[in-house]
Amino acid sequence: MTEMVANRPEVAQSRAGKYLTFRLGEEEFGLEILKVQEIIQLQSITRVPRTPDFVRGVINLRGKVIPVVDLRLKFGLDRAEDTERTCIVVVQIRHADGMVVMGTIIDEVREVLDIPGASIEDAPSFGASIETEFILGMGKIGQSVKILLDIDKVLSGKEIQHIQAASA
Amino acid sequence: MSIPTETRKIRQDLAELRISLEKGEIKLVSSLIPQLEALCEMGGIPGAMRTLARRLAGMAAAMGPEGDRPQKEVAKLIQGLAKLEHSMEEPPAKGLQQSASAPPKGPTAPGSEEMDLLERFASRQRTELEEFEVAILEREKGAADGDEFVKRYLHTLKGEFGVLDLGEWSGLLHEVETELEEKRLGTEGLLRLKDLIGERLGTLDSPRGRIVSAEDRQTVFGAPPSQFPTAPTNDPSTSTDFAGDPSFLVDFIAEGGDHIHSIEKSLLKLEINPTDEESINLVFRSCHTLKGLAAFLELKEIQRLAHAAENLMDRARNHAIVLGGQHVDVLLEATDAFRTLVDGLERQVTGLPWEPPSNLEALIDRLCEADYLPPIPALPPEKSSRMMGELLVEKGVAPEAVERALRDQKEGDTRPLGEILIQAGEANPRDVGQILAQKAQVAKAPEGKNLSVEETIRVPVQRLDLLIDAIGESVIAQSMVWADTRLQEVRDLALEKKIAQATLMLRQIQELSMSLRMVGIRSTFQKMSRLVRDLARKLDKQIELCMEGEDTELDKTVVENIGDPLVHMVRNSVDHGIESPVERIAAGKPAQGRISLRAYHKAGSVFIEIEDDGKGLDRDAILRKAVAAGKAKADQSYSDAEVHQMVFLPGLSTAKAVTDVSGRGVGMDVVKKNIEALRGTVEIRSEKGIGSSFVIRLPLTLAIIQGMVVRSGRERYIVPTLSILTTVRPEPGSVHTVVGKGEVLNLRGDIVRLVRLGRIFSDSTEEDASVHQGVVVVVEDGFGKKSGIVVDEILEQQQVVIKNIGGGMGQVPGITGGAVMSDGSVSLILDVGAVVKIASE
Repeated sequence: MTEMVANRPEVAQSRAGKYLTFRLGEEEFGLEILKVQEIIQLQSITRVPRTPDFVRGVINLRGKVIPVVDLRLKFGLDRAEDTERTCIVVVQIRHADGMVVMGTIIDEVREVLDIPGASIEDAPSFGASIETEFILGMGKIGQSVKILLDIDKVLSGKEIQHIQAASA
Repeated sequence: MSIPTETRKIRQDLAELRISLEKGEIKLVSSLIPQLEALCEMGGIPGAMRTLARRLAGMAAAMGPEGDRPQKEVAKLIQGLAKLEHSMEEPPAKGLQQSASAPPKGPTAPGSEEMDLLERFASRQRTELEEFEVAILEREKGAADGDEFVKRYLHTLKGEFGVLDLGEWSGLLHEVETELEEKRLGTEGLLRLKDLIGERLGTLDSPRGRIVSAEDRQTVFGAPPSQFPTAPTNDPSTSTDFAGDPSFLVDFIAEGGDHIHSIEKSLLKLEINPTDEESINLVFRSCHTLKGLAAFLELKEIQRLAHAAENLMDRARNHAIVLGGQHVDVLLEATDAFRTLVDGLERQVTGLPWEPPSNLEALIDRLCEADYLPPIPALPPEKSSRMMGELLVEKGVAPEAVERALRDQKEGDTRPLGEILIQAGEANPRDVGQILAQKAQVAKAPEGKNLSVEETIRVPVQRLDLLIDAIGESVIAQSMVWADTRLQEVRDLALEKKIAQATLMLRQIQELSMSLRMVGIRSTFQKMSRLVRDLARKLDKQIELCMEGEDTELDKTVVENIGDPLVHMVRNSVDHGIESPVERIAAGKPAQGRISLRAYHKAGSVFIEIEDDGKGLDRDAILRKAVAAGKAKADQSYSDAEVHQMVFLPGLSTAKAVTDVSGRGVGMDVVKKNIEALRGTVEIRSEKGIGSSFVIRLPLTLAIIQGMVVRSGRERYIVPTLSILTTVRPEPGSVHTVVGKGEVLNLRGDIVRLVRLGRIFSDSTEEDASVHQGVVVVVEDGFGKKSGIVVDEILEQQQVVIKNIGGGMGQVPGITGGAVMSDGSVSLILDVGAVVKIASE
């Protein structure tokens, strides 16, 4: 693996950087810090009917209405009760129509880590059962492994088409 | 003040450089710098010119010797250079002999000032062209004011093109005028001219737009106008022919009179405020036009006089001199001389003998000399705010006389000071009048700007929308404060009063901000008059179009988007509604059909009506067609309204047979869709043989709606008030189930299908409450059918600002958007038509 990364320095280079890490269930994830606009407390969410489960609804972010996606449900994890640590990470993603602001609900924010390119590996293939295309790579921090997300892919592309298909 | 030879050389060099820059040889930018710097060093040049040169040198230096230079920058530089060259033009020698045939300026690249003028011209003409079109149509009907307007407009436009150095255009206009006079050009040609100008308005600043090609001419005149020179104003060989034509002289007399009048008016303003740019420019332009016209007609005296006056004004315009009383005096004298000359011309045309005034040469000399008079500083404004008496003493009234008059006033004389003095013979009326005028000026306009024209600022729509958005936010923020429970706990009357005051102000600002986006519907209506005319002519029908309420204002977006549906409906009225004259007479109606376009405000909405007195909708034919298309049942009885709404059914409308039989419906589904996209509704009233009317109801603004806040389960929704017919709490026994599933409500005899909002919008398995505990909001779906939406509770009525529910969500069926409520949470706004549709699936 290390060899492979070494052979593709440009990939390693582009993946290196600061990541916001957070917890979803028992798993640790990382999000490119440049995509993160802000982190806000959980607030009352207005459910939008006839949208997929993982779309929790919309919130009022200082006068702008933005959709909020429950990442747990998005990744097929069990639904969990909201706790006081549950919060919304507001991200800016690139969408077909330009930049879009969305909220993502996560269980708990951990920290911001600077992960060097050498510590990031490609996601292993798990076969057809697990989609890995929205995984940017696996970050090795000491003993733990963080799943680094390509948030653009998580919240747009196919998934958005899915929302739109559901709503059509 | 003659410009030295070195300057002339620099000017030549700069002109060469500019021309190569225009050709794209931008490497030469750096070689401009030394020339410009040399110019700055030179003595005896006007300050404005020096500043301009310095700025251009800075610009050139900033561009650097090499590298990519943005096209825009280079263009700006070229413009600046052209302006500089223009200002370096040599002033004429005293006698003016060599400039007797002063040609109009060549088509140089327009300077930034001219660009501005062009832009203003174009934006003004856009509206005026519409009026022109209206006038053309009226003229056709034989209206005298229409004819007069057309002629006046053409004439003014010709003049304006001339002032803007658009010689080819003014030439074209001139030809059109002649053709019109000779009755060789009719309504069609005028309309084509209007279209041509309209198309080209935006491109007048480009070298291409300045040219009137042979094709353009052909568009207007129909056939190639072989007998006309391409550009009479620029062609000296033909000018004599024109000059001999008395009709030109008559035109010139009329137009010249106008210019003289405006010069005089502006000069009087300048006497009071010598630095009023607007007036200076006006006088300059009028002199310039007079000169051009006179040169064209070979009226040497007027031309020379105008040239001298123009030069003087040019210096004032470039701030080389400040216009003092002596300048204005001599200019006013020149105005009088103009008038004498024009009057003389009139005598000549009518065959009376006339001698040019003898003092003309002397006057021209004085105009040129006026240049060299030392500028007299303008009256400091504070002077005029001083006491009347003081000012009069300065004018030479004896101080004792003033004191006496003041004493009289104290002793009960109610007359103003000036009047006392005049009547006592101590002061002359002219002085008093002047001082009064000065004082009035100071009192009225401290800035010295006193324009009666409505001033406008052009602002990008985007910026406007941002402002409106921000104001919408602050209204929400304000109501969040107002609704805060802590405020209720405090129970502080003074505090509440303050907040209420702030709320009021904010509402005012919001209303004001909404009005910023409002525009009149006039231009949209005026397009219809052209459409009706053209179509009627094509179809051999006689139709009169009446318009009412063209000044009704709507949101800009609405006005922009209502045009197409209107065109469609008006076309339908002309094509299928109004019968041919023969049919009409047979039906006992006047041969001329009538279509009325009306716009008005009512009940917080804007209504637009299209009414015709044609044959009306053919109910049976529509129904037949609808049944055939499977959109209606043959054995069911339909109300007229329901049948009329079928016109809007998609698929049905596009069937050609329907058009032939019933006469209506092509693309009507699109019309309806467009109107609904603007959150409007359209209704049809029609009576066979009498006529039909289409009533479009539109919201005043797209940003805010009046909504009813309802609760369904744990969620709150907003139902647009516009789509609510009524709300009822169903009585026991009025709700019936259909096959155990569907529910209907008997609403005063109407069977209304019920839609449970909770059921279609909720994935919860909660047991539905009984309908009787809830409220039914009766709405009309898109096709005239009533449906009842069952909700748990009606909470309140509220105005809400519509928000997109976030990018990336796509279109959510049944939801038009979200609104931030006063508690800060988001509520969804229902699209009732879609909600009913979901329930039917």
